[in-house]
Amino acid sequence: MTTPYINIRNLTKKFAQHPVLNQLDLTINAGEIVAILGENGAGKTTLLNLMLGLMPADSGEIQLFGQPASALQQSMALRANIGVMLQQASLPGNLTVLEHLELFSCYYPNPRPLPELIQSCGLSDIVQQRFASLSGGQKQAVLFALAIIGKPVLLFLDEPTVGLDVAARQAFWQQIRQAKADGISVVLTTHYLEEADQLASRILVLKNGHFIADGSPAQLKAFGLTRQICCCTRLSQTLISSWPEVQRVAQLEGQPAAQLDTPKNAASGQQLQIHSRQPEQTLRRLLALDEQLADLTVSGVSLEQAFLQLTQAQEHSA
Amino acid sequence: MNTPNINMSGIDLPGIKTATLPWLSWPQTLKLLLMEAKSDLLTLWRSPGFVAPSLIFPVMFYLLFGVFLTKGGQSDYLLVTYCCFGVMGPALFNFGVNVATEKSQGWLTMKQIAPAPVSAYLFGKMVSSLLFALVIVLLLFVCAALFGDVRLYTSQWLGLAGLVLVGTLPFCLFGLWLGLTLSAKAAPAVVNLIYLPLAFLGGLWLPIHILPGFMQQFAQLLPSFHFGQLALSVIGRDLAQPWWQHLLALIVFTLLFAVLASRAFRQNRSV
Repeated sequence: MTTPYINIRNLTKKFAQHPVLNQLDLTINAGEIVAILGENGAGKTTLLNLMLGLMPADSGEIQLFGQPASALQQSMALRANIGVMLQQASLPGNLTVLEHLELFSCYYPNPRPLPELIQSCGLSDIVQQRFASLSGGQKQAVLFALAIIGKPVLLFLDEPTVGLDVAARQAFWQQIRQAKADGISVVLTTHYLEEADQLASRILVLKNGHFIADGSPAQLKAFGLTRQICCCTRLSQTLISSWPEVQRVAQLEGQPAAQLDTPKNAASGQQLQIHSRQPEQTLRRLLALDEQLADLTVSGVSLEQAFLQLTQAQEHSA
Repeated sequence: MNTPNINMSGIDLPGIKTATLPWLSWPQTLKLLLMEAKSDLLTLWRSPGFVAPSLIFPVMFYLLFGVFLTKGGQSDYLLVTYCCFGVMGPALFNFGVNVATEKSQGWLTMKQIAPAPVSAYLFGKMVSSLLFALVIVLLLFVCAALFGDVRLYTSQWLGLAGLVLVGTLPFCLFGLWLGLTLSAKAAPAVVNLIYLPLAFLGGLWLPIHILPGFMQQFAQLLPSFHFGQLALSVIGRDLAQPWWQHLLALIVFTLLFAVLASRAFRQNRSV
């Protein structure tokens, strides 16, 4: 059996008694492109820093290439297996792109040839420019070039496209696809669903200190198509949940009918939240069966809701 | 996590570089050291806020107090002390302020994750600080010979230059400790607040013997005083204290700052 690139068991990390990561497990194998999705403050960067041996864990085990993460600090050769783009890292602004690339290539015994690297990362037009004069997208492209300059087998990218415009983001995605084609495994953190969908072979959602979901983009998409319907209806929850396209029905709390403006609503039933795979079908049924249906809204299910459903579904089926 | 020994045996990972692999060859190491020095020197040279004050202030102060406003006989004394003052600048600022900046940029962390030896980074900073120090010393020598009528033996010129350059070491380490401890915002102000009083109270702006007695006592606690006195001994203008006491004091300061800096480095790594 091949040793996984990353193997994490029971990882816990606390800041001021508050657990940011709680009993987290993760295995990443060669060839995977893994996106770690989560809101700001979910612990994505903390997890990455722990994997890189930049901070000690409170408990649990982290192995990279079968070695404890702390071994990275002791071995230059082990470190050369990984390439890293840190969140909001910056370089001295008054050196040129070429000067930065030349210095970094000296850290490796067998670096990528600079002309080829400059070509493939699209840096030809800016090699003579100082780092401080570059745009956000150009800076990220340079930092990406530095991450792959030593021919790593595993790349860590911490929110690499935050703050980039659409064109720059797509150009950056192309770089990651190229790395994937070159056989490099990637661990990517992001809070963009689209980014994870475009790039990853596997998506993990980090919330409350552990992964609440672990699935392929196809699984994710199935839930991404779900729409949320909210309405005030006299129909029973049991009836609605019996419809095949409906995934979940819940009564909305904290909105007692008395607070609604019109007296008609107060009489007409309860406020429901319905998750449906075929919202048009569900709406047709609702409107046909309840003439007094009111307060109707239809919206996309947030990623978090979709993944909560995914994990609940997995728990039920297990 | 209790396996400090790196052992790749029994691990089936094709294409993974292992800990037992030999790392950079000697020519590659040499090239790395040169590139670190070149990069740091370029960074410094392209920072007008560093170049102008560190080159101009010592020369300007020396011409003012050591040449034009002095009543004769002090040009050689003040040449020595302004050399000491001058070389402390690049040491404290390049290490203090620039390390703090590069730390907060994440540039230091990037190097720590990449297989970049910290020693090469520090070597590069040392070389560029020393080159700036050398330029400052040569400028002061030229001013002293041309305008201050300072005449020294060749051995004294060379001895003085060599001693003040080697004597920057404790101040480089002092700067490094400050740089690793301070934030990028605080560093410029704090380093100035340390640099200027250190120079004045150590007797580098005005001769130490014209300062009040209690200040002369206090100066014994400052590395700048011992640095100045040791340099003055080259031209025989030091106080009566034996030279080896100053050397010993500087060695103690060097060790102290080295310990503080390495401790700050380890704490920085595990934040």
